[in-house]
Amino acid sequence: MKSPIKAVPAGGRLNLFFMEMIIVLMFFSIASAVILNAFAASGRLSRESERLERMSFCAQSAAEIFSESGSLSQTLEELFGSGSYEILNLDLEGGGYAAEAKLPLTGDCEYFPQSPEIFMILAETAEKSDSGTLKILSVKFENTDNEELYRITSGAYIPAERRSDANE
Amino acid sequence: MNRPGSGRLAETVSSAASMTLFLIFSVCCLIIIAVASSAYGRISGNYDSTFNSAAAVRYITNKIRASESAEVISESELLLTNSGYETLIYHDGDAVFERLFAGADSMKNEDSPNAGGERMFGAESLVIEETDGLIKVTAEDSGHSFTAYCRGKEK
Repeated sequence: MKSPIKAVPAGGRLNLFFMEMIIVLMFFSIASAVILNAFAASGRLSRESERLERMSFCAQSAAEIFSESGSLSQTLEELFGSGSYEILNLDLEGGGYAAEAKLPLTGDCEYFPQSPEIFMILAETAEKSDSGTLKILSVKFENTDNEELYRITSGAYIPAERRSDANE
Repeated sequence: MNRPGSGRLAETVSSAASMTLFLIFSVCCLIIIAVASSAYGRISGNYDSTFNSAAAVRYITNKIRASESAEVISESELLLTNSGYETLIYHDGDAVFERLFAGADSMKNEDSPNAGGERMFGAESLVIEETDGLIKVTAEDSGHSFTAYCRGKEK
């Protein structure tokens, strides 16, 4: 029994309709892949932009608190509460000191309500002189691959008469 | 020898196949349009809510830095003083408002100071707290909240 579908009619004339439809569907599939890729990229960029803005707010807050208090521990306590960090103390040549704290940001943090899988690193260095102490705070955000995402640096100068209060 | 019935059957099947191809094409178009509109709506809504809350926090913190003094009146009201002018930033309903009191008109002389202000940003909530010389500003809109600290200005 012959098939009722005849792509090539009698007489050898080629039926171009089905070939045209196949070409149209192929073009449509390529265009839809490009469009969906563009929308996926825009969604990813939107999430990246929001995460960057949150890092900016968190770093700005840390810098403001540090410039007011002059203490890394007080900055961390104000931002994240007590007991949520560990400070590593380092010694610097020339009478100064350095301290560093690395925190994994989880979904419990008010700055990042969704777990962003990034780390916030705060490093404090202090250079003492007779007139006072210059403290510099570096706030840096890194992802799990140790790739730097955002960084700011702020400073606080504490005159000699306030140095004893700030170091407590 | 071909029968006449098989020719009509062939034409019917060909027509049905071509209609099926058109149907597949239109269904694919509808799916693509639905996915794209859904993605665009989600991105646009996320951007609007993020912008409102983030811009409100940045605006308020920049205003505090530029002012001579800042006084937290209540949890959602902040009074800024600069060159004799007073600016009251407050939250009412679903937005952050700002009202300027110029010259001798002081905010404290008004019966209802938090009325008649200019709408600045849409926000579901605005919380302003002052602790240890720092002012903490938190704004939330459509589930997105942003928080920032700013050094306070003594009156």
